[in-house]
Amino acid sequence: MLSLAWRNLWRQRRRSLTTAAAVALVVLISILFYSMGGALTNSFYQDVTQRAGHLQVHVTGYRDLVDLRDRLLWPADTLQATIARAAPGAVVFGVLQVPALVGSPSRSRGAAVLGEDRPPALGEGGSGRTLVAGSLVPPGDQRDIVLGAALANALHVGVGDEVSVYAPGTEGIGAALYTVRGLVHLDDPTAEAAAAYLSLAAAQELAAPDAVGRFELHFPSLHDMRSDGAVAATKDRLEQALGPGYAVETWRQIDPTLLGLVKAMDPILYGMSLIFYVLAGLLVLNTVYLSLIERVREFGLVIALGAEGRQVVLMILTESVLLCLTGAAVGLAAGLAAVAALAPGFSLPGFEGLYAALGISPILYPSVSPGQVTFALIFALVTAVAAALWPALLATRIEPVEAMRHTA
Amino acid sequence: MAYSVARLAWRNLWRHRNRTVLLLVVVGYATLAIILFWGFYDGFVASLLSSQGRYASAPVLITTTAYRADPDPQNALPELAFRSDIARRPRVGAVAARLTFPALLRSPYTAMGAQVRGVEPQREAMVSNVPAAIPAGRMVAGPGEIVLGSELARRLDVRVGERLVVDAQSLAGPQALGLRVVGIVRSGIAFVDRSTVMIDIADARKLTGVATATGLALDVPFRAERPTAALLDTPGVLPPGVRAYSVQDMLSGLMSGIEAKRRSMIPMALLFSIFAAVTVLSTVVVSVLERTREFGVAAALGLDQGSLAWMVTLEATFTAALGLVAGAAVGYGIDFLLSRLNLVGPLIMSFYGNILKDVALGDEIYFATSVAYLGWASITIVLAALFAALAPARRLRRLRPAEALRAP
Repeated sequence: MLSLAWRNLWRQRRRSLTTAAAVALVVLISILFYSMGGALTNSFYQDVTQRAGHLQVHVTGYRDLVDLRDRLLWPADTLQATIARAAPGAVVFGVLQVPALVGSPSRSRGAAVLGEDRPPALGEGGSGRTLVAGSLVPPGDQRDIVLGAALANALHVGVGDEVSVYAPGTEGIGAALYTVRGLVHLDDPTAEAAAAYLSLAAAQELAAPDAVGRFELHFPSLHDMRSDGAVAATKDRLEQALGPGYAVETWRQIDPTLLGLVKAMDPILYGMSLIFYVLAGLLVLNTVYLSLIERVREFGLVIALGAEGRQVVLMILTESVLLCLTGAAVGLAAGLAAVAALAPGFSLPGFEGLYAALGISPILYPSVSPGQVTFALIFALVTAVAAALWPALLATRIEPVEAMRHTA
Repeated sequence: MAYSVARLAWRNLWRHRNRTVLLLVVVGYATLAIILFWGFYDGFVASLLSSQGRYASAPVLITTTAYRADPDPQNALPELAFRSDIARRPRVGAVAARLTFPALLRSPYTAMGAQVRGVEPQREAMVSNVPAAIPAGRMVAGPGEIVLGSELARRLDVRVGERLVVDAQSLAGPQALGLRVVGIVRSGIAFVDRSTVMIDIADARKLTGVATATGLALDVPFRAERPTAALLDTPGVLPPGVRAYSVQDMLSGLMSGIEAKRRSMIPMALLFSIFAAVTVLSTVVVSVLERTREFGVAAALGLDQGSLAWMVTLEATFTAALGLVAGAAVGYGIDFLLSRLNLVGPLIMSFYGNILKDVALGDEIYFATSVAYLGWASITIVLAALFAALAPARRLRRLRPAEALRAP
């Protein structure tokens, strides 16, 4: 039976090729489709982790502590060294956030002053801030401040003007004058109206010498949400190295809202793949059916010559399985190769300019899960084999003479 | 000659009815899916923005142009006499005055800067969803009372029943008022719970020395925000220096992030179009193979190979075009229906309500309609014609009539 099926396939070379190509294409495009969905999820993942890091270290129970002084991590340098040792490959830096009053000669506003020296390795693109005037504060600088554009507007100041920052009830000097070095734009207008940035050293001198409010750990080379294992492993190592008194959280725990947004993509992607699979099924059905319906005549002849209906159906099944397995294998190989080639990142040609203007990374990172690949394979195979059965069953149902005269 | 070929192509479609219908279904389905997909996505985003508007600001906000550039009580509305006229306008439900000003909130434990909103309690409930999100306590009912977002209350360490002092800069110098916390807002939405402060507008007027308001918030139905704002902006309606802004104008910062995500969907939409075009190709290929004898006859009767190739290309193009028209008719029909009726909203909320609540989406989701979607779907036709012109049609150019006549 196997040899007969194989010979039949080679007799009808073009038909076989077309069918196999259809199955291969369905598998290939399914995999590509899923990988684009994965790219979308990964872009959310990147947004989240570039903003807040993959891991954060705080004081235990920091969410319930109200006073800034209770939430401080001290001594910052020693702690940072410990963290860096426990997390090789991560970019580590400390952040100190101080609620303060920022004032100009005419106005004053409450603001959340953020002291950090964001390492250049991370770039500014992911922090959610876009520079709109002037420049950023260099690390260690004690004189300059960067304001949210809306805050600067409300204070009637611009680049080069002086503002006072008043942070009462803290351990540092509590008040200082800074020169506005630059202005930034944030997506959230409320946050922009209360945003001010100092170097970490300046913030420490102002409010908390040698202390930080949290440490952020970033893994710039992690683009795929699914291969996040390194983060969990680092968390365990950190917890061991730091001991009790410190809370180590992953990006999922830090801002569950953003994780919720990522999960909110699921229904959209499920819906899309469902829509896609109906089309995929139609393609396979179309190809297999059309190429086999002409063979009803052939089946009629074979039955007239003495073959049993059962044998004909079995032969068709064998042919189909052989053909579709080959096609699926080719599609699988091509699909996985394509995803592997694109996985390090690609960008849509022609869109880079727009993305840069929006301050968003234009690079997409496709990824696909084993479950999705398996589903694509099974779907293609099942549909193709089912589509092949119809003409075979047709031939066995009607009189051989009729079958021999059958036209589509 | 070209006309005869076209007519032949057209008639051939109806001679092989089953194949034509199948192909029609494929292209029609792909068109329908593309139209509904973008209609859903754009509608989802628009619904999201409008919902967010009812938490963050208002469907339509009337302020001075100076206030828009510099949101300070200094730039309050000059008078409120025109509000009764506004309230009578079509599609304007309620007009709520707001007096928003920066202040220092002082609890027994700590002090924080915040943006305080003085409201008219009953009318505010009609323009904003925030007053309905008070599980602990109740909304402000008159002077002497204050409502806070849960995150803010936590940081100030106050509960319902306790007192807060609000310090503000009025036109007559610093003012302070002691207010009782009557309610805590817990919406599940981060920016709301973090920054909401509401007091009675009478108290706000006392604290700022402003007799009018910084803005008038209008209750306008979903999707009527932009048109209503535009209508109000016509000369003579509002006092000089005063303008109406829709929620889309005010939340433009959020739009850029959303726009970027939309463009990430483009690879998937393109894949889908390519897939549909390939299905067209596969049918054309099989059709050409099956009809080899028929072509042989035609060629023997005098139709040259070049015309044959064109005929096949035209067949593919006609079918795809018919499918596009059918799919567009049904697609836009459903799209239009779902843009007027909120059928999808409750469905999605029942599955993903928890997650979507966090991003301020209510259960009203309407589809968007745009002619641009047809443009996307038309790519399918172009691709189909292209593919058909390539392989099968080109094969036909090299057809040898004598051999073709003997094909099985």
